[in-house]
Amino acid sequence: MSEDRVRLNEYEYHLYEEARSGRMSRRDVLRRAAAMGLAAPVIGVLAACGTTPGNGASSGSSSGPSGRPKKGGHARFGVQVATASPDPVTMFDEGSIQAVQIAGEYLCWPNPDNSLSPRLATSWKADTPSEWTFKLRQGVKFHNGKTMTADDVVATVDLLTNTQNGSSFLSQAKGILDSGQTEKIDDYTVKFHLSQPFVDFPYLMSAYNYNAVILPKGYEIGSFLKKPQGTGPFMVSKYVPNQSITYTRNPHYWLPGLPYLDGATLTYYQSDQGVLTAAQSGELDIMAYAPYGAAQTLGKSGSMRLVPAKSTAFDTLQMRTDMKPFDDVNKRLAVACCLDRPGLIKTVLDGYGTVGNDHPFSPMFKESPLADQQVPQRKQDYKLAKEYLAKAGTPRGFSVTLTTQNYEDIPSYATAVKQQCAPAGIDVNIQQVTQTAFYGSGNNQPWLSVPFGITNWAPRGASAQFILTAFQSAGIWNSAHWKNAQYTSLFKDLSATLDEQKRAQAAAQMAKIQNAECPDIIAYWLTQLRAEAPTVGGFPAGPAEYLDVRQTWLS
Amino acid sequence: MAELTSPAAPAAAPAPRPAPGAAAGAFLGRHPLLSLLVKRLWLALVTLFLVSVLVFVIARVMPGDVGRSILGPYASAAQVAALDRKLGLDRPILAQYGSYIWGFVRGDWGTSPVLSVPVRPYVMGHLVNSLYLAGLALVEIIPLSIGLGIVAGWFRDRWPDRLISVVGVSLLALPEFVSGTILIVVFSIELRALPSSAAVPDLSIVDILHNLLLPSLPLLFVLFGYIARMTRAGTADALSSNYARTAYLKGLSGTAVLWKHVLRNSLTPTITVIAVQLGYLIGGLVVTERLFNYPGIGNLIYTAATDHDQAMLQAGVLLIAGVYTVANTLADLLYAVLNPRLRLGGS
Repeated sequence: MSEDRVRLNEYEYHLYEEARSGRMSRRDVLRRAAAMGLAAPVIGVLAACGTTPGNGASSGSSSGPSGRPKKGGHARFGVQVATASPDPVTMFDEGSIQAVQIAGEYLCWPNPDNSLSPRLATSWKADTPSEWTFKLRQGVKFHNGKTMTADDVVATVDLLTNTQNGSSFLSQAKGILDSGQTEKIDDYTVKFHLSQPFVDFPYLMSAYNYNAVILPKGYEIGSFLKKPQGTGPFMVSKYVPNQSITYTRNPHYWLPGLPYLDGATLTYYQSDQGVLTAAQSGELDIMAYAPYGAAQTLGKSGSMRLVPAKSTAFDTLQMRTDMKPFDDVNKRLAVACCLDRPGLIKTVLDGYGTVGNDHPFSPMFKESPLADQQVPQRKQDYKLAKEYLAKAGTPRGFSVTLTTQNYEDIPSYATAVKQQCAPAGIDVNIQQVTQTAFYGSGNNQPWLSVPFGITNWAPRGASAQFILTAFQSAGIWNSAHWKNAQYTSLFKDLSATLDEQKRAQAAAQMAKIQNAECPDIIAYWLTQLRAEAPTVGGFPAGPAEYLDVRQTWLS
Repeated sequence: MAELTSPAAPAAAPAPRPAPGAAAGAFLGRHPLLSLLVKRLWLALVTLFLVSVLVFVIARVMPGDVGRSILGPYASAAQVAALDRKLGLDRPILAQYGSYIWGFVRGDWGTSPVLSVPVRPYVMGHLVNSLYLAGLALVEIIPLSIGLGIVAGWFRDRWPDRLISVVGVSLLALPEFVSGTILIVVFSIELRALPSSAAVPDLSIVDILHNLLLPSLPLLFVLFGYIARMTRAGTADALSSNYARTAYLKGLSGTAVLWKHVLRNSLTPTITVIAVQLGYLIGGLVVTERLFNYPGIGNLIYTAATDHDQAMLQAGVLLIAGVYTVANTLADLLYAVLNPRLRLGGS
């Protein structure tokens, strides 16, 4: 595999140049290279010429018990019950995703610092931004004994991209990777022919697009927990619907010596509160996702250790740009200037968050540094807010209804928005509905139609994943109904160029435009929390609520 | 829901005397008890039929749909419509009801589209789990509340009566989720003595107590005050009656009067009240089962309702309605059996 690596391809050469010229630190090179799935020898070459020394490989592991990992033991996980029977193709909630991720694996895995590691793929590279070749790991066996090959990967992707199956895989991949675009080159090589250039494609095959679990060819939707058929470190041994799933160690796991645990149980609770109570009573070892309220309680009681990890999750405070009152940009900016962002993080998130600047280029994304430097941070400024209101012709303010969902941090966020807007004369009436009602269905999806609302976004590996659906003109979840031709065309550049500098420049321009037009207020990025018992070691802090338990152990 | 979560009012109004020559009575012989039974069973069937129609309609008018529940908020409307079609949800409602009820009476309860498991074993399993919990609760409730109720009646208006009444009423006023939460905080979180989430016990006494003692206590709290007061009233009434006085005057000891003459009469309403509460104990524990994460039938219908799992919801609610109907019928019959005037059909 490495003999054809003597010649670097376009992108590799580009990275090499960037690293040599000192535009990228060694750490950035490594991270970018891993994201692009370059082979180890190439990474070695690149790393050697990086300028700033950095501790490239951050373990991201939590502070577990000291000492060497211990073999054996049975870990107890707890999560709120899944809405439907957990299946990798159709799943969308934590209860299902966690159940599947203990037993299933992806081509690549996101690290807590947002870089990607090879898993079922050993390497990947972009021949062009719309042609991607993935090399598969050899010697991987499904739990049913079959060997994993390119046929399985092709079959899995066909299953996920078939619109009949209703997989939320398509919510991120549609228009990028569609049905019939996956080609088997040989038994251990797969090529993806994308519908449009997408530099961040590997993230779509990682846990950030959680449905992309590799399944055996001929997989029947709905059967994942009924018989063992993943490739992961644990095999499903017993599934009691709505109650619990028991796993045993996969003795044929492709990384010898792993996993450390003999088995695991995932118990379903009827509510987040139930998970919390069980955690407090010492009935759980790991709570992979701790809502903020729970975190507060657990932190106080000391029964479990909190593990925070920065994430790219956020809430949009969306303002419809095509209807009153927010069709006037001055009114949108007035609201944005009312918010005290550090204060929001303190009160709404208990301090677990970082300040946002009304554009989707999180400091965690590789393409963001210029955007972060060039767009001044928006701050609470009532004088400025009043100026905007005067420009809008409503110097004494206006009144508007904010529709929100009853979910985690959102109700308290809404209350804070109301309080902080009041001094400027903006009267916010809160209308709170359940999460189900907020997302709705069919022709009734309030989150996409209300003039003023709050939507929670799950973390993604690259800004393009957000922009594609939520902010570009044609985005299907563009809840602010914002259409900006320049922004959208810059986004095409961002997705189509492999040149890191050009990408950063495009991102900076986009950030400027979006910050100035302010269709959505992005006041903060969430720090996600998980909780673990003092005996747990080797459980990574992130990413998101996704589970990587092959190195987890109990002292 | 209100009816499921709070103890139902006693339905033990004196059963009307069967009219002489009633058709069913004439056909099945003249025993009044038998004709009462037949009448009750008829009523039960009609009730169950109405419940089946009601739950079917309610399940259909609930906001949201099955396809959306399965595919989640991110699926497109077309995908949801395709799934709904696959599940047969686009057929006329009458046809859906018809095939559903026909399957139900033949024992084919269908498959849950949300959990993709057959409904009948799943629902029955949950019913059995609820029976364990109800069973343990009854074992605690009956001796305790009747015993202390008698004590209260015996010491009417003296301090044991006051104490029992005040404690009973206070506990009665405590909703299950409040008492349950307090129990969890004390016994699970602070003392770590009992689990906060109750697993289905195996059939050993130790395991049953370990898992179900905590969830059974809120039920004891709710029913103790009620049943104890019922018993106290009956006992106190009977003790001040003429026949009790007569028994005293003919020289019987206090305890002999209580056992031989008072209790037989005073416990009749209590027993029927307990029978009526059976329905609540088996099918109405939505709050308790959720709080303790116990896979009983109350928990099942709640989850089914929130997930739009129609097949599961219908089966669960019908089963609970069945339990309620049986419990009420039992209460009526017990009342009739224990009340000789009704039993003998004379006045």
